[in-house]
Amino acid sequence: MRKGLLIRYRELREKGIAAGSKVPRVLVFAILLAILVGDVSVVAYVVAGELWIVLLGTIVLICALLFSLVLASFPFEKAVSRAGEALAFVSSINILGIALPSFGDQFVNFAAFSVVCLSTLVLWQDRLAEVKPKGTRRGYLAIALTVLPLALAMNEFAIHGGVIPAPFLGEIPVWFFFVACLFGFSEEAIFRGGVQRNLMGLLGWKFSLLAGGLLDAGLMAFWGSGYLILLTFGIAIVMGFIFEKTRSVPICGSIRAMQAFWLILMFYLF
Amino acid sequence: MSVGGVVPMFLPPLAFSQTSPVEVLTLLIVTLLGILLIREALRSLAGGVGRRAVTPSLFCIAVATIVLLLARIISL
Repeated sequence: MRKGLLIRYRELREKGIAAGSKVPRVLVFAILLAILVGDVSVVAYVVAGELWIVLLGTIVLICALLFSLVLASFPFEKAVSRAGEALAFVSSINILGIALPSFGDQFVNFAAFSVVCLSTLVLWQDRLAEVKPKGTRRGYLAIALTVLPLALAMNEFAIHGGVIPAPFLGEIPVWFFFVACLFGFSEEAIFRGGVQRNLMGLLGWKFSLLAGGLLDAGLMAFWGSGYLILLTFGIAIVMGFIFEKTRSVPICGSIRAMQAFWLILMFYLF
Repeated sequence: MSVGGVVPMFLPPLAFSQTSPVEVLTLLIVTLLGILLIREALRSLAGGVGRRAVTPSLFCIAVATIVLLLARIISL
């Protein structure tokens, strides 16, 4: 006798489809690629000024979001569902970035985007990213919280040639310090505590680190600056290694928040 | 503060906030419906692990849609 669809689904959910099979891995890579294509479309739009490019990118991102949700919902093993959850969230914040209207001030735009991301993280903290520290190593903590943020900020400042990059045209308002610091923290929560941690079970630590870095850099496309994309990728890789060692979002988040603080202070002072 | 997009750089949303709001709204509403459909399918199948992913995504897209609608109404 043939089993009903519902019974079959429940059986699959109880057993779980093996995460070792190629299907979920291929799907995860395809979704990752789709999100990156969406981000590239943003840069292409800024360069070429053609609206259809970003429209196409949005459609690709929407497909990535829906497929991530399916990946998260289908009765795969937990490692696959967790990867789907992380990718669904990243896709949705990318769509949010594209769809939010401009408030006529780039800093207000950024603040509006950050507020939605932060409130999503706070409201669904337990589902999106594990913020509680795990296996903290105090040695790394001491180095990371003192030397690294300043070093990263100085490096970024030097690469920018000590000049405020084009997207920062105009004066940086004082309140932007706080928004940038909070966004720095939430970036770590999303890409290290969310993406890297959740993809680790399926892709292994190296690929999950790379995926977190690429998605983090992809989000910087919203500033329309190629420099920022490359810099962020570099910083994200460093942060990925620190996360791999400490498994702590508070440590990584604090480093990133302090790095943003130092960087803006340098732009402010020089 | 003006709604509608003045700065030609930051956040491509300005692309959408200046032209073709209908296309963007259609896309967002289709996305919302897609997410809701997946959520309903999951509910009817008595839930699964992935249900956790639906609500935050829904929240982000809903906020974007509401803000875009409000911006359109204000700028009219």
